[in-house]
Amino acid sequence: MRDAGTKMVPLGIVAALSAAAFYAATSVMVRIVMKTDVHPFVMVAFTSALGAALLLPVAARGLKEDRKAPLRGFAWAALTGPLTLAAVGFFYSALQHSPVVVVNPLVATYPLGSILLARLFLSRHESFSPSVVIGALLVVGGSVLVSIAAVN
Amino acid sequence: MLGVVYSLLTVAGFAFTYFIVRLATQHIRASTVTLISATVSGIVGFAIVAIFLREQLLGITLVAFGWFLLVAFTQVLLARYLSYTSVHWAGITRATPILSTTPLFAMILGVVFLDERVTPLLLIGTLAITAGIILIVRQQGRA
Repeated sequence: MRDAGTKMVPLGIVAALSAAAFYAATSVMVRIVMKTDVHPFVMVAFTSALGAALLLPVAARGLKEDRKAPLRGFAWAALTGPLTLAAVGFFYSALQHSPVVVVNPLVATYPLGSILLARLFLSRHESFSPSVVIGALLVVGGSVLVSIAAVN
Repeated sequence: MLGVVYSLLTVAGFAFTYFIVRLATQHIRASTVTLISATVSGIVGFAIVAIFLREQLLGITLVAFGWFLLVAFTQVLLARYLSYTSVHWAGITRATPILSTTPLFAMILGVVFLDERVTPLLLIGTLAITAGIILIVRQQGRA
């Protein structure tokens, strides 16, 4: 079992903030590409395949060291591929049937689902102090407000 | 109503994805998880496109391909890799709420580069996010 340890928590938070910023930059690019009538699934297929090719040199060393890891780690990793595709597909379908003002604030609440799953199945590995839970609720609530402000 | 159902399915999809990323990174590196995830997404995505949207493949221009490359670099190599790493290092309870602050960064980009207005709702949301992050960061303990 690979556990990151408490020393890595601040770095993990910096990584999460950086990821959120890069996702925001990506959403701007995606909006530009969508104006050229490219179907969302075509874009997801291309960007995933190209992304995997770009990531290969970065992940190669770790991949070699992970060879002896339990098979279920690879199985879980493989499952995230279709799950991400499904989530993105549902998101675009939601936008086709409802205005952004309804869809974006609802989608911003997904961390609550992740936290609930972690509480049910990973309570020995995750921190559930009142401070972290209140902090998570504040961040998700704030993101919902910002989503509403963005579409208004 | 259908839009709300699809939105809730999106919530479930992303919630399960990060939960499973947490399970996977307990056994293998975040870089390996990201590589496998993107490869499988690409294979399944191309299978769907080949079956249902074959004519779209023939219409891809060089400019569109250039955009795909740029989005792949930002979305997969940077955003997805960093998000999976953050789930491993900080845990789901800390990382996923912070990952959901993407709309805030999008608004900051809009205010800085597109002269968009700062509204009271945006200010309240930003303050709530900042307070939440401070609470999450201050708490030390298990990842």
